[in-house]
This record gives sequence, C-alpha cells and structure tokens, in this order.
Amino acid sequence: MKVKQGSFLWYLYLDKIYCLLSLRNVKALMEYFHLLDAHRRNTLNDVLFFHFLHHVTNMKIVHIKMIFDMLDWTAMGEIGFDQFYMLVCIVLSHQSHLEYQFMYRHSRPVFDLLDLKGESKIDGPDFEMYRFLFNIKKQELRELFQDFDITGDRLLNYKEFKLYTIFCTEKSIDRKKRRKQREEEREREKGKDKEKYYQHLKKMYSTGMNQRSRSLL
Amino acid sequence: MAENLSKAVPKHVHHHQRSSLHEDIRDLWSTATMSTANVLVADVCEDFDEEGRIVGKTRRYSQTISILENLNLKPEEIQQQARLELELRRGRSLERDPAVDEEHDESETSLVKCTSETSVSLSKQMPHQAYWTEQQNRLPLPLMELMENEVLNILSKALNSEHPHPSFHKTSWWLWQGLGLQEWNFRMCMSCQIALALTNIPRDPPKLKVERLGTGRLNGFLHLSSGVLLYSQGREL
Repeated sequence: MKVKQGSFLWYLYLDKIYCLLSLRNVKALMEYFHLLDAHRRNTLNDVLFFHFLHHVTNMKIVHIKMIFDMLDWTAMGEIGFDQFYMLVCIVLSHQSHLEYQFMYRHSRPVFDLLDLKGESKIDGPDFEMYRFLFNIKKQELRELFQDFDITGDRLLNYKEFKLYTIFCTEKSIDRKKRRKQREEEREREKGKDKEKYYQHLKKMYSTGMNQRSRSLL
Repeated sequence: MAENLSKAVPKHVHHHQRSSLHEDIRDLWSTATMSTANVLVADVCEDFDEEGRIVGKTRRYSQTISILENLNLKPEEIQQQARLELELRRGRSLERDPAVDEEHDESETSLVKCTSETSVSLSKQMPHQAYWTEQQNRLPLPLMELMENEVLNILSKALNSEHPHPSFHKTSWWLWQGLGLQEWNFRMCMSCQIALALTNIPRDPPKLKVERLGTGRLNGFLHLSSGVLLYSQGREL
C-alpha cells in the first residue's frame, strides 16, 4: 500500500512521535475533503471514496472495499471527515514506516476499528483480513496470537492488544538500530575498499614510472 | 543567487532540483510545525463555519506563482505583495461589522509587523522564501493547484465510471408520467434527471456492527450537484 508520488497525500506527513498530522496539514486535508464532497453533505459515499483511494494509492479494489466497510461504522453508506482523517493517518503511517508506532500511539481507535463485531475483542480471521493496513505478516500474526493471547480464548482483548503494540514498537526500534549499524559497517567497508584501490593505483603508477626511468637510462 | 542558479543550471540538473525542491517543501512543512505549535485552532480555522464548511468561496489563493518564481522574488517584492494582499483584505472587510473590522485591523497590523520582521530575516534565509510565504496563513501555492487538479481528476473518473440504465432513454417519459421507479431499481432526481446512488436508498435495512458480513459492494450512480459542474470541465449532465 503506497501513496502515489506527486499526489496531494504525498506532500503530507505524520509527526514521528505522535503519529498525527500537523494543524496546517489538517487544514489542507479539510479543504481537500470539502472539494471531494461533491454532494455537499460533509461526507464521501462509496463511489467517491473508491475513486479517491484508487487514484491516490496503489491499493487493490478488494482492499478499498474492505476499508470502506470498516470505516462506515454507522452503516450509512458514507464516511465523514473523522473517518477520512483516520484513514489518511493510517496510509501515511504505512508510507513513513511508522505502522507500529501508530498502533502504539492510537491503540484504542485501532482496536475499535479492528473489532468488527463490536464485542470488545479482535477475532483472528478479522485481524487476518485487515493486516495489510499495518503491514503485518502472516507469520507475525500467528506469533501474536500465540504469545499475547493470555486468556487463551483465541481472541485479543484491549490489554492484550496494547501489550502487543508495546512489544512491536520496541522490536521496530531494535530493527532500525540494527539497520543503522549495518549501514555504518557497509560504509566503513566501502571506505576501506576505496583506500585499498587507491593504494593499488599508486603502486601501479610508481612501478610504471620506475620502468620508464630505467628504459630511458 | 537563485536567479544565477536558474540560468546556469542545465535541464538534467533542473530535474534533480525539482525533486530536491519537493524534498525541501516536506522539510519546510516539518519546521513549520515546530514554530506553530501554540497556534489556536480558531485562528487557523477561521474560514470554517460551525458545520465545518468553508466560509466565503472567494479564493484566497488566486495568485498562482510557481516555486521558482517565488525563490527569485526579493524580500522587498514579497513585502509589497503582502501589502497588496492586506489592502485586498481591507476592501473585503469593509462589508463586515465595524466590531469585526477592528479585530481585522489589529490582525492586519500584526500581520504587517510579521511581514516586516520576516523581510529582515528573509535576506538571511533566501533559500526558504517558499516557507515564509507559506507562513503567511497560506498553503504552498503549487499544492493548492495540485489539490484542485487531483480532485478534478477523481470526480471526473467517478462521473465516467458508472453508466445509466440501458433502457433509461426509452423509459424516461414514463417517469415523467409518475409510474414509479421501483421497476427500474433506481431513484431519480426529478429536478435534474440524474439517477441517484443506490447506497442511499432508505428502505434498505441498516447494517449493524454485530451482524456485519463485510460485503462491501459498490453500487449506484453518482449524483452530482450543480456545484460540481465547475469541476467537470464543462461537461453537461
């Protein structure tokens, strides 16, 4: 799920700590929403919503329909600005690789979104359907239910979900640190390789000059 | 400095400059948030009424200046522009109440002060002119254009995506006779003769969260109000 480069959403960004848009970004997004609101109802119906997401992201049609169903929690066939804002934040968190941070910071709203049946618990198959939103792999999802389903009912309540988000953010921080270390090591190796290459060139030059001087003599 | 750059740099470097300009804009957005952390919502959202709609459709972003032109402007020219805009605002504010006028005058004088302060710092921060114009309660101008073009494209795609019922033209006169719409399974807006979205039919039972099955069908036609005709590139409905 990627935002198309050069689109309006591409110019927005999330605050890295709180995973929210700035006030200026929200104002811009509000203007954008009102422009899209062709019916002047302060809402977007499913057709407008579909074409908006299809134009701005590379999401599959099936996923777009699923997202609309998820956001249309009043079952009116249209979504308001609150839901639109939530969606944009999720999409931008995906774009900026802040999915786990977003889930941690906004665990309650995310939990309510994934709680499709309204039972204050997240079902395994339901989470499986929407894992693409937060870039969660199948194996990670299985491990999640194995490690964090403390009650053993194959459902996640809010506390278990919150624990999972805390664990994921720490894991993602560790991953980033490791990536940085690997990049630094690669740069050091590149630097060493360059030095070796220059020394080799110097040797070649010096031997070449010596041979010339001998031939002249 | 920016003028010399624009003349001397060849085309392939311009492309890199454009991409770097985009990156600069994103970085500039982030610095903007640090400085505007204490802004009140009411001050920023003064253009919205209680229902959240934009008050006064007269565009504040009528001047379309590109990023490159902005960079080439001198600080004195930017200050002149700001003064022109203030005069325009004063002209609009004459129509309002005098109590509101006083508030506007105060805000305008504060704005003039801000612009005079910014003009001094502008000379030091020439590369960030786009940021300072954006600071004057404006969106980056190219972004506004981009937003409108994108919305136009989306709405035109939505308009073209659905086709009317195949027997629409044959049976339209029956509709005028008031024979009912249930046979053709869509509603009709009699004033503009455009079919309405099926998803808004009130007789369908509402979906409850407990019983949701997640069907997610996208049905229906798009009903466009007269306001959207402006965005449909002159197409008649």
